[in-house]
Amino acid sequence: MSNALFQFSSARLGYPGHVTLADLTLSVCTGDFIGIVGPNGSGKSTLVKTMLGLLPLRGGQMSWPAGRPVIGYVPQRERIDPIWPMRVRDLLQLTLSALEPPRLRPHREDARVQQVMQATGIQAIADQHLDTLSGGEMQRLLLARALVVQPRVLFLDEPTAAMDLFASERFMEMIAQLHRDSGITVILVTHDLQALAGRAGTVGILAAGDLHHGPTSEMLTAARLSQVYGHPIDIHPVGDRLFIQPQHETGAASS
Amino acid sequence: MIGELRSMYEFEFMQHALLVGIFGGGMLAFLGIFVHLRRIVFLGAALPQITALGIAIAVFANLPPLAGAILGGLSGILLLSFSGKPGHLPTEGWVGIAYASGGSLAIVVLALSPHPDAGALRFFTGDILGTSRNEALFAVAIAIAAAVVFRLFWSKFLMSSFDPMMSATLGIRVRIWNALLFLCLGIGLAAVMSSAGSMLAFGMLIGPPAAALMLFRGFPGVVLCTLLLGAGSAFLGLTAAFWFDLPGGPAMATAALLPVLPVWIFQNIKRSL
Repeated sequence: MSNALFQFSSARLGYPGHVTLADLTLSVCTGDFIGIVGPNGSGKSTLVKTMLGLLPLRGGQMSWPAGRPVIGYVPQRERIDPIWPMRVRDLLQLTLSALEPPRLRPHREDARVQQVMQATGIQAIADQHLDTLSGGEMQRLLLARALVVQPRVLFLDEPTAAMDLFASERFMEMIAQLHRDSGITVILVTHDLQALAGRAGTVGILAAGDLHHGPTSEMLTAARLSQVYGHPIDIHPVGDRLFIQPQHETGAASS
Repeated sequence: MIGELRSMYEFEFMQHALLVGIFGGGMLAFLGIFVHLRRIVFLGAALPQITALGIAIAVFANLPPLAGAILGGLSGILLLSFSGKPGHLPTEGWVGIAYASGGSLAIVVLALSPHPDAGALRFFTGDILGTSRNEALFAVAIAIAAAVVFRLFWSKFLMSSFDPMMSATLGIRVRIWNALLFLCLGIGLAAVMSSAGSMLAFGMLIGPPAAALMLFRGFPGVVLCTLLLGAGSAFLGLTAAFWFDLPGGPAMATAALLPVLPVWIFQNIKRSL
């Protein structure tokens, strides 16, 4: 594929003595929006860590055909320790400064920091310390931190976990708009299947050591999801979105 | 008062002790910021004990204590770096074992030493007044070297400690920066411990940065306050030790830890208002 950004070919992913995903073949193209879903323990984190280069490949091949681009990574907010004495703007500046050559003089705030705070709507909290941020604010800060390095690929690892309904919706809409406006490649790992409908072009479902992927409309079907999760699932279209819900044990859909 | 202080510090042994306290102690206090923020204070407690074992082995083998301290400190860091590997015992368990065995083995090794050295116990009790000129110069040299390294690569040290995963995705070599941080910690501990004992080393590592982190909410304030408290407590502790005939190391360690309680009370009162 001419615009292939990233490829797995017959790849084996996992940890020493434990292969989580075997014989994985996947191609990500520039500008794709891919959602990765799957039950707990299906290997979502293993897949992301391997793609980020944090875990070595256990076999097969992994490549960035046009070279490894700058990557933005948005972790779950629990990964950030709020005891560090930093304000929102300090963290963004630190991320930029850490990529610059060593210097004796302190770094001044870069214009890029202002830009990215504006784009993610966090100017109002620029002088707040990390331990004062709400879940939604922290997640927007982590998105801003990922964007401040001007990445070509954005990895998000369950970014809306522990966010309320409205904050989660606003955050996902921000990602979708960013993708539409800038054409950035987005790889989103999530438990929230509904968040992908109308946003992700491709969905990959991890189950039983395998990754099944294809267009979102083909992947997010009641039959496929029921099979993957081992439980009957109902899907109701609402506009361009989907309402996805597991059925009760009795077989009737909950309301 | 000034005249008395001046005459006190005319003694060479006092100058050497002050240099180790200000430079070595100041360096450990600075590194303590990372120890607190990385939540590895237990490791900071265990390392001086393993360094003490290194000193004891050096005394046993009739080698310079400083060489033993450096080897002990670096071996401790290397050994404890494996404690995070998957297993049934948590990291804290290994750190606790290192703490308990380091200190006790050091005393046993000294007791078995074929080269009786009545002064060897000063490495544990912290009689800093026995510091030699070379030991003092070594502490000054490594503190200056560490200051330059941290000034140049401040952002990389901070970023790789704050979020190793994000740093790795950005191409920052986290292992190298971690190794350099722990190397500085090992050598800093060796420099202070070989002349002033484990109490001062751990006191400096923990006290000044703890008070500074409670007082300030930005790195410039935290770093400046830590260095001032480290240097100030070295001077105050040593002066008190001379005047009241106290052991120098523990007096300086007490001075280093003293600000923590009033600062904590002040913070709580401020929060409740």
